[in-house]
Amino acid sequence: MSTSSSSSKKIVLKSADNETFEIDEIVALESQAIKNMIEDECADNVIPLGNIDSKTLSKIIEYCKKHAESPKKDDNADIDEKAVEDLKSFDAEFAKVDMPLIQDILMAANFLNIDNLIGLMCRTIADRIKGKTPEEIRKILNINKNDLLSPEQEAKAREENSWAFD
Amino acid sequence: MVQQSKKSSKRIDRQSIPSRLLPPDIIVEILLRFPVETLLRCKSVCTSWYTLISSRYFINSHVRLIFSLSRIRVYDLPRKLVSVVPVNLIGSCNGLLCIVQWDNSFLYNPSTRIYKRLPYSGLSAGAGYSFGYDESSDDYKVVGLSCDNKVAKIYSLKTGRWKDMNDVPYISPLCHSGTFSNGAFHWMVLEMVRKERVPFFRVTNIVSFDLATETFGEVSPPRLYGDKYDRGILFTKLTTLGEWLCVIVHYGGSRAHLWVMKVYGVKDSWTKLVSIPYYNKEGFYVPVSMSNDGTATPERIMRSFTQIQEFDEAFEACTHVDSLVSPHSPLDSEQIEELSSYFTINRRNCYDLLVCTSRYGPGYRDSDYGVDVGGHHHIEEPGFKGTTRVGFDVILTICGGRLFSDPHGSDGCFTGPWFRINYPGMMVDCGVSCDGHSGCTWSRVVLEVVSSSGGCGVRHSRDSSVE
Repeated sequence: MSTSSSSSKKIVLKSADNETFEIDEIVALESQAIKNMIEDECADNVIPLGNIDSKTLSKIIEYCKKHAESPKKDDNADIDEKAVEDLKSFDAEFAKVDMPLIQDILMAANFLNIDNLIGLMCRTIADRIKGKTPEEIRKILNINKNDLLSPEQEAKAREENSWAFD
Repeated sequence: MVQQSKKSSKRIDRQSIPSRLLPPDIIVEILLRFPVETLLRCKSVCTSWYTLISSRYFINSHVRLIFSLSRIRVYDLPRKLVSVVPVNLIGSCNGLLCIVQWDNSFLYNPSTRIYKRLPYSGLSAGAGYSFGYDESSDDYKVVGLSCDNKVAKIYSLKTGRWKDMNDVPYISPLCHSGTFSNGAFHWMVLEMVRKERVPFFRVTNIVSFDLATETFGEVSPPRLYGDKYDRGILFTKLTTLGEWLCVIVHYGGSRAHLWVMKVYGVKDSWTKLVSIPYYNKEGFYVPVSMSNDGTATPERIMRSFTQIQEFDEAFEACTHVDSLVSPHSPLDSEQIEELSSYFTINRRNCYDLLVCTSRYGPGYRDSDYGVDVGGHHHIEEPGFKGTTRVGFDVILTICGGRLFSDPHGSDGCFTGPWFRINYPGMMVDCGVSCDGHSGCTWSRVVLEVVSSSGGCGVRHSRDSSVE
């Protein structure tokens, strides 16, 4: 998956499963972590991302491309409303993936330090677990089984807030 | 692997955990987005979530993070307060409400439904109250002023006691409910003058009371007099608009000017923000809240306002945030240090709007005198979820009742007109109406104004209809 807009500088990212992605530098700069690397001049031609698989990485690149192309809010106060709407609907579509992938994207975005994407993924997870029971949330988020409340604690928590369980 | 910048190398360790266990800072990010009700349920997920959600640091961060959209909500009053005795909404601070019922005062968090009855203040009914938050000591304080201005008491949530206040300056009896802004309460000092034999009140000063130092001071009011229009001033009211101290000045039947003090304590920073023309001579508007984030659509807000009409009673309204803050004395603070590293506090100005029925508590109907019927109105706007962040623009209330508003001397029904506000970036049409009740000195109806694309409003009256 490579972009080919003529003369701009290219960055190559390499996923954990050794797939390479050539992208415009401007797209890579959406990641604060990569931006730091480039600024510190410690980025070689190829940036290996040993903890991100190709599936996740391609999603992230898709996101960064879209956001890099869109006009930034700070640049212009009279930002085109259509562009904002467009980006919003892109984000909504982008988040329509299964839970494991969302968590992979979130962790990768956290690693790459892409603020907007972290926010989007957190919102998505929040939306999906909002109406769920504690038991379901544990399952979805893979909560450590050793960390469960004792039956007494759980009963107490439920009693305190019984109306919230309705 | 290439050399990583220091910032991200720290995160690699977490990433190397084979399962998809989300790191704690991410969990916090997610949980901070939840409304209180969901958080209460989430306490049962696991012990670390329980500890986190109960921690004072989380609670305070949660207050500052917007997680819900602006909308009108009507909360239940604590069951014990639902009676025929009128309830006065004093104010809202970080999700805590201060409510006074006759000579009893309460702090109530309607989101967690935990309330606390404050000890008897010693002040008889009719005293004016003010409620605010002292950031320096992380304490909530209530001030009560007796009708005759002779006794003043201050309550601190941390000490749990009322104590006497000394050297209380003169504050006009009409203005005994103080306005909380910039860490201080404010009251207007009025002087009665006669104008063609008609008495009216003139603002001479603003008395302030700093919650941190617990000392009185003064703030200069805006220059309202001395021009050719000052003879037309009918009444003035002190309030807040966002962070600003605000004075709304009503000119006889034609318009109201809204003044804000842009830099607190600096007299020259009083700015006339907007001039609101009236199309009707009755009714006085009081602003509640504003912002310039105009992403709300008129239809959406319109819907929430039509919901208000389900209520048959007078309202009191204020801006309010959904929070976990407890009306009881502060929780253990042990967790704070440990957890603080997880948080990035995002302060954004967005409020829920709280509406309480003022007279008899929610659910009261004439035909069901004193009976708690339909006490569970919980208005959520249907279809009003998702990603749009909505700020309030100007929200105005109309004050009705005997003190100021009825030129005909009876507690009639005020039906305000639709009016239009022109303000940079917004042009809005709004309508207001309000019922005054005999024996009810204050009744307010909320009106919300949305910027840019259009406007909306609510009418609330017995024969109300929204056009």
